[in-house]
Amino acid sequence: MKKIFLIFGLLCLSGVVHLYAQTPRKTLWLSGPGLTSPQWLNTIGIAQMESYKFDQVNTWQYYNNTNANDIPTWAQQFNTQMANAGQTDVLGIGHDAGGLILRYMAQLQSTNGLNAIILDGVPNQGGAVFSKLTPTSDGILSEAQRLVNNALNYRTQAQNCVACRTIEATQSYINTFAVSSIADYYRQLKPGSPLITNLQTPTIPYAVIWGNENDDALGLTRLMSSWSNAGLQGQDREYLECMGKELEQRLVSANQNFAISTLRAIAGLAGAVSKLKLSQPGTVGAVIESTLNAVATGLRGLYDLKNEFREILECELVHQALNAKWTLMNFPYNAITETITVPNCYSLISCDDCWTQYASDHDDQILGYCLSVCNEQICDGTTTATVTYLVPEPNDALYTKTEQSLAGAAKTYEAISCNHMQESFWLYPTVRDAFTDLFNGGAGAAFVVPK
Amino acid sequence: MKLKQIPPLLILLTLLYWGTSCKSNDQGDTDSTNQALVSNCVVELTYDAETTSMMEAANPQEAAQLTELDKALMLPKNDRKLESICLKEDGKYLITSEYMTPTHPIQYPVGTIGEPFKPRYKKVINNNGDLTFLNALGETIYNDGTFTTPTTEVLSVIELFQTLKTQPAVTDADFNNTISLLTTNGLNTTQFPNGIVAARTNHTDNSYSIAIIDKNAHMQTGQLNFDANGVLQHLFMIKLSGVAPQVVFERMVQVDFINAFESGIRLKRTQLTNYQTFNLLF
Repeated sequence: MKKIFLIFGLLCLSGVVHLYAQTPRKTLWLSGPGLTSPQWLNTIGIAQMESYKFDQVNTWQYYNNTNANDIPTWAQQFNTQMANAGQTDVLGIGHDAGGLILRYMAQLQSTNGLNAIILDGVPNQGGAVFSKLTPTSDGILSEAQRLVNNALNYRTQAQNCVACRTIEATQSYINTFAVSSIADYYRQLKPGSPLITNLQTPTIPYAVIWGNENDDALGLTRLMSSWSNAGLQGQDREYLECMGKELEQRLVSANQNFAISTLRAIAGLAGAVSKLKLSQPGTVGAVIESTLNAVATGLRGLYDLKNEFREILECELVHQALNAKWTLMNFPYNAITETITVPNCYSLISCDDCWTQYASDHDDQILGYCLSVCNEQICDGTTTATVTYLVPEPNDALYTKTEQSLAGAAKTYEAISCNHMQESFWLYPTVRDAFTDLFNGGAGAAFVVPK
Repeated sequence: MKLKQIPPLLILLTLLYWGTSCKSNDQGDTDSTNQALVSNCVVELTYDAETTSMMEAANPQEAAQLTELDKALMLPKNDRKLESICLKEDGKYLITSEYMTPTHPIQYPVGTIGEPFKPRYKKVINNNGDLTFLNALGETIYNDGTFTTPTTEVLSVIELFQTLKTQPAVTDADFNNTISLLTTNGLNTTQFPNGIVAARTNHTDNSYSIAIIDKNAHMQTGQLNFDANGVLQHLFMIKLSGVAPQVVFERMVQVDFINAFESGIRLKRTQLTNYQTFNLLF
């Protein structure tokens, strides 16, 4: 009889467990405003496809106009909404400022039912970037706006530097932060703002995912691509591909034209001498004239070609500069000094020094000697040179690792190779891996979402 | 709105989901254009060259005005390329350029501020103006570009080589006489010691170029380009051995000038190319 009860009991228990496992977890998915955060739709869809069972707190009003309220007001509204609905065991999942709303909700200690939060790409310590993106007062350009204007002004030297109008796209993005209502919203997120200062460490379990865009030094350009693709999958490569193609094609073309010009230079004058030797007396004048024309045309051609090289260099520089300045002004960095190996002839006289000298003394004799030796440098072998380069703190092109971190997290994940806009897409393996680990209980039961 | 209420969106997401990673996947279709060089070249030049580029303030006294950003954008870089140029009888051409590993690669940690751009391709083939960019696996990354050297220009280069191939060798005396003849007829030249001749040509926009002619090598071995104000814009000088057209390039110095991004200081970029091999056949 005891055995029958035991079996019956086990069956009942397994049924309850099974029933419990099938109960969807209540979740609250909050993004930040559209300028810095894509909506979660893509990820929610994929999580459901992977059989995670969850319901969602109604966020229609929030997404209808994310900038309409400040963060404390949204937190209060959600708390009221969830308390009125009698929500329990809610898992909050926040990206960007959405995570700050969740933290504020937790801090208000209402009966909102929120009992764990995932902070994904959240400026937990504030985002210094907003000091550069928002103007200090109306009518004054922000530092970021001035940077882009400088880039556009510099680019005018490179007339054909288009690259999908990458810089204009960046300008359009950055200018939006100067709109008064938007600037007011993002000023909340600055380090040292009342909001950031008053935010306390959550008393409910929390996990952190921080983005690390570590593919190259072109984080801003990648961020711009991902932002323009925020409604799709946050792909980061379109502007880079445009820029890369333009630079590569122009450079390859110029290099190859230079190679053909080099062949002409090898055979040009000797060929003219040969033709002159063969010329009939009556045709010498024509051969001389055509040779003179060829010399002038060849020199002009190389002049134009070298201008093309310079323009390509300027085009490359302006894109590098935009990204480099963005990094320098927003993220801490370390200077690293290393020794590199270079050809040893750099320490000797260069041919342009001959012309610098000539410009001052107009001494043909000295110029002649100079030109005859300036390229006779001993370039066999190598020498060393010291180079100093700057490496920034890991960042997601918007916030640093430090800004995204929050001590005391149940678990912290690195979303490597992802910029800020990509952090809320499960399409990207490091983001998906972090979430699936959390949902499967890798950081504790508080984050479990059943399948 | 709950997503489970909109299955078409899920279908779309399913379609978009496959194997995406955070980063670009540049793998393309297997390339059919990665072919060996055709052999019917009437002029063929191949070389293996290592180029090192360095930037500095054109006027050393202005170096202190360079900002941190300016300096970050002046990192030296180097590359090594295997180039092959094949000119065909009908004026068409095939040029390939392949990146190789430099003897002393200059490498920076990923994300270094101002890190020089790295080409995304390993090899590029220019088949008479059609550019095909290939990755390290020989797969096409993209096939694009309409940059064409005019057929007439290629034919004129071929004609020069053919003339030199079929006619008696040009002597030093022949070369000197021709330079004198060209000078008498309007070429603005200045003779220097050691067989160097500077020939100046004024362009219509008042800019001008000076060709450096090496009488010993029977060819132009350099050029300096000045703007209308007489300010040097760029130059290249070639160190070679032999006598044209049987020459072997040893190295080339190129200098360009650009303005620093932030301070506006004039920067000089020097590119030094060392030719490991240089083979010219015609």
